[in-house]
Amino acid sequence: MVTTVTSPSLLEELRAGGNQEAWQEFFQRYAPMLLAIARGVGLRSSDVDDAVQETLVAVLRLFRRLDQPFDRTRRRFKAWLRGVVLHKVRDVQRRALRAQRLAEGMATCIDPHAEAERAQAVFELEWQRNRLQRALDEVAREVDPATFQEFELYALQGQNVDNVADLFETSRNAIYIAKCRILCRLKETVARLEQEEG
Amino acid sequence: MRRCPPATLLDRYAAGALPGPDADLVESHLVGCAACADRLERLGMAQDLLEQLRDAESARAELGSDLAALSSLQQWFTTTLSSVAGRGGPWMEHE
Ligand SMILES: [Zn+2]
Repeated sequence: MVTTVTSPSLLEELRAGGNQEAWQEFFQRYAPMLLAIARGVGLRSSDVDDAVQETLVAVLRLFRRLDQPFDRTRRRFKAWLRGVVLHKVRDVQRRALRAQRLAEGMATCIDPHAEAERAQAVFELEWQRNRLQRALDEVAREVDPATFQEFELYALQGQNVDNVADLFETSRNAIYIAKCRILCRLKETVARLEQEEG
Repeated sequence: MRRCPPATLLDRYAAGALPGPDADLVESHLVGCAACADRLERLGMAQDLLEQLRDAESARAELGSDLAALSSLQQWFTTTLSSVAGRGGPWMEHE
C-alpha cells in the first residue's frame, strides 16, 4: 500500500469532513490495530467485530464534531482514540457478560478497575506495534529491496549471516552494513511518526 | 579510508550520528575490512528496537493468518462509507 497522506494532514483532512480515500487510509492505518486490541483484551471472536465496528462508527461520528485540531504536542489524538476504543470494548464486554449470565444463570464477576488497567496496557502495546510496523513498511519502500530482504532474514528472522550473504551473493560485511543502515533509518522514522501522530 | 577508523568514529556511525560524507568514508572502509565489520556488528546497536520489531512482526504474522476478518471488516467499512456519502452533502449530516 502506498501512503499518500502524512499523519497530521490525514487527521486534519478527516476533521474537515474527509473524503473516501482519507477514510480508507485511516482504516488501513488503524483497523488492524483495533482488531488486535479487541482480541488482546480477550473478547470472543464473535464480539471482536462488534467492538471494532462500533469504534469505527464512533470515530466517523465524532470526527465531525471536533472543532479544533488535535494538539500534537500533547498526544491528543492518541488519548482520544484510546478513550473511544476502550469505551466501546467495555460496552461489548458488558453486553456479552450479561448475555452469558442470562444463559448460564450464574454470576460472573469482573474487577472493573483491573480490567481497565489491562485494557490500557493492551492499547499501549498495540499502539507501539502499529507505529513500528508502519515505520518498517515505510523504510521497506524506501530502500533497495535486496537490502531490505537481507535485513529481514538476518536481523529479524535470525538466519545465519553467511547463509544470507551466500543467498544474495554478497559479503558478510555488506549484510552488517545493511542492518546498521536500516536500523538507523528506522530509528529516524519511528521518531518522526511519534512526532506526527499527535 | 585505508586505516581502520577509531572506535569512537565507528560508534558514531553505528548510532547514525555521523554526517553523510563521514558516514560514506566509514562505510567504504567497512565494505573491505572484515575486522571492522565484525566490530560494528558486535556493538549490538539498537538491541531493544530489534526486539520490539521482532515482536511487532510476529504479532502481524498472527493477525495475518486471519486476513479474512480484516477484509470483511473493510468491506463493511466501505459500505458504511458509501451509504453515508450516498446521502450527499457533508459527512454524517444526520446522526
Ligand atoms: Zn578496519
